[in-house]
Amino acid sequence: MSEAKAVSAGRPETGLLSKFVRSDLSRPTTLISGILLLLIAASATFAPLIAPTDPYDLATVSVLDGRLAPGEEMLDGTIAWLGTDGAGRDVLSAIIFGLRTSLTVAISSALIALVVGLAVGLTAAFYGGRIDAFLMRIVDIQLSFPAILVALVLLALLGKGVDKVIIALAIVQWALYARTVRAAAMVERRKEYFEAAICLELSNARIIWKHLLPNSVSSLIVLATLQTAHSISIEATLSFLGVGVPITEPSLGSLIANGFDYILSGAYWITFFPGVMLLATVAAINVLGDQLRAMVNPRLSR
Amino acid sequence: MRKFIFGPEALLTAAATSLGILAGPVSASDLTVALAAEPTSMDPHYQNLTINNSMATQVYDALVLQDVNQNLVPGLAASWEPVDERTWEFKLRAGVTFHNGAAFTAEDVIATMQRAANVPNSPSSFATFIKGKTFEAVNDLTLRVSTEKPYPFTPNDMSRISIIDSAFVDATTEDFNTGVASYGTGPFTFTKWLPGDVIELSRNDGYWGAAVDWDNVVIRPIGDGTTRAAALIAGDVDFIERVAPADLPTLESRDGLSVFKSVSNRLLYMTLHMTDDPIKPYATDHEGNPIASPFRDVRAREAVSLAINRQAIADRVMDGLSAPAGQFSPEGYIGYSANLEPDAHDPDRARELLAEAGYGDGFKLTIHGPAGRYSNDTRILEAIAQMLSRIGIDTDVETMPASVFFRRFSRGGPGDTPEFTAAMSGYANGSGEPSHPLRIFIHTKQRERGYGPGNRNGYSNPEVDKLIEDGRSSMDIAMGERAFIQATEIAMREYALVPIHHEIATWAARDGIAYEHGALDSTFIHKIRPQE
Repeated sequence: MSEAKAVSAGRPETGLLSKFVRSDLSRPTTLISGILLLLIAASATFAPLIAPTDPYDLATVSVLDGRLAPGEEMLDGTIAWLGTDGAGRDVLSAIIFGLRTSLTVAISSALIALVVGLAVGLTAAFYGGRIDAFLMRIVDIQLSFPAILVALVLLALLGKGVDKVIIALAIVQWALYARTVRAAAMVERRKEYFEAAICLELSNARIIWKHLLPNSVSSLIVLATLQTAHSISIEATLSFLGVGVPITEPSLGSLIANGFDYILSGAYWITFFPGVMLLATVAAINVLGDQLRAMVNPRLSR
Repeated sequence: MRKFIFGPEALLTAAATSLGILAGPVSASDLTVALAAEPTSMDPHYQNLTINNSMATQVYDALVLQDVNQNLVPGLAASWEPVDERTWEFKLRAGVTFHNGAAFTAEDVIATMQRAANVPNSPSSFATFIKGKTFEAVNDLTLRVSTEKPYPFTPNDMSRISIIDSAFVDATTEDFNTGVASYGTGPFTFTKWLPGDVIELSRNDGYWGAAVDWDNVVIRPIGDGTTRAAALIAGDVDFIERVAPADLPTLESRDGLSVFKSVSNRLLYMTLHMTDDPIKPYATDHEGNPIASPFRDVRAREAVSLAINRQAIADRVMDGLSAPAGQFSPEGYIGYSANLEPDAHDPDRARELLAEAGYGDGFKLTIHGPAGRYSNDTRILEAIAQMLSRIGIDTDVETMPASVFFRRFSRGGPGDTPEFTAAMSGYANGSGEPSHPLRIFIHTKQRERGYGPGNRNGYSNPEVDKLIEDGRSSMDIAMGERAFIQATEIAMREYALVPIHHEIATWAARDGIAYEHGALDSTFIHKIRPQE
């Protein structure tokens, strides 16, 4: 009972989601981004049902269908509305399936990085002193290397595969979360409710879990949204450089890379359509992320 | 009115105009060439590297020269013959002088061999062609080279070593780079080298062979293919090598330019693991349990070869820049067998063969290959995976950077054994020694004897081994060649390797220039001639 009273001032603002939905819908750009993102997520989720062909089934994809222009007919009679790529995959189907790979990689790696970063950041902020110094120097070292470089080295060591890309992206991103959450938690530590919780001699785990975490997490949600967009781009870059996902199961990035060599010979569609899709996805997530940030940060709220 | 066309050509022209830094041809008798790479040194003995070697042949001669198909032709030696089972005698050309005026004698050859085998810090030494041989000057123009065992390839080895003036036996690599020591006997004299910028050569009027037509030659390294093509279109250069496939239609259709193509000796092949020791994780049943390699059975190997639609790869993946292959050598090249044809695409027969081999239900396979090492390598792997999937082999592709691939390809498995069940790689006979591919890839692996270092799939046939060894120890060259061709025929019919295609090399030049090309994809400046 007494605990509830003592810390009531420190309860996080509730209703973030409903507030978000209300303010979101009030602005056309965010509304459009929201709808776009829903569509993208839906088509990625139901890819096998929506896509005209299965671009990952090598027994049906044929190199003889390679580089058909948008609207041309493939050998099996299917119309390739967005053309086919160099390996004979229908670009539309490949984009839908590629989105799936890209989103899976981005969201899973963001989640893993978030959990790890949260744990490290809160531990550092709560215990302070040497533990803080030690953990933050690791974060410093991690952050001093460009993300793409670290990811390249990791993938060179780990090899190809969706799971490996997720691991590599989680490793390059956790430090950012740790740094952000530590900063937020350091602020919370100086507040009175926190001192009250200490005075009540609550267990460390309980203070971290029940008080520090809920109050530090809001800025992290924003960061996670923006980082998801960022990891989609990093994954695309890695696949573009040829170290990401396997070539027979292309993501958006590898589709773009695939088409790059054909640009001069006029087969623009292999790069163009996946590029537009990548742009749309990243932009939509970023717009929503910005909106979230505006709400979480009082100084930016209107 | 000029039409504005935005297409590949417009891009190339735009790129070309931005390249104004390149000097245009000064007069009709000067030649400007753009190459894809530049040598690592102008020291002909520094590094055994294709670009270094082709540049060295412009300034220096070897005792024996190679034509565009790597057949041996007389160079500084007018003739050569074995005098006994272990000794070759070279009759040297009389009246040849180095660019500095010094006369060429057998002493220069001996001095050269001393230097070439001992260049400090050489990344890949020429010693491999020299060690185990004893050189003896019988007189000024007669040289004897003896080996401990009968060795028919001494003339081939001698074609790899550029002869320098004995006065420069102690010259450093730097002396050759700056020109202090760069006096050869070759068709061009060395003028200067500014690394990354230009190499300049001038005609050697006293050349012992047919003198070249150009007074001066300027060679510029331009790494990017499209930029090279743009420089040619703009008239900044007269001749380029390695036209990017995407630029080829543009150059071919443009007035005032001509394109040269020839089937090179660079072969792309698949290698299929042929033993059950060890069982590798890359061939599995449909539940993912590793199985012994299905390719122990020659019928399964043949099925793979028949499943591959080589013509489709040439047309759709390579843009016409490959020729379907059925053996190591392209037609006209050393070791070519007229009895071997590339397998025709026959997926129905392939399925039958798989069933006969006991794999009627198919199996799962991962094929491996390098990314970015060979022209379109990952796309070819992908196409092959499609083709194998169609005959019931459920195929995955795993590609990796070339450095990683080749390490795992050779010794990534348990106990440093080759790792993969099925892999794609490439091969080009660099030295022109006819038994080379057989000794490296086909002979049973016997590392200590130098046989089969590239035999990664466990192929072993005593009859083939015997033919290779007999050919390599007989001083009768013609008999050796017959043995090698016979060994090739047996090995290819047993699918010791599955050949896919030979790459087609390309060059382009402004009209009025002819280029004599063959199976080598490197560029030889002295073969560029004004058209008659």
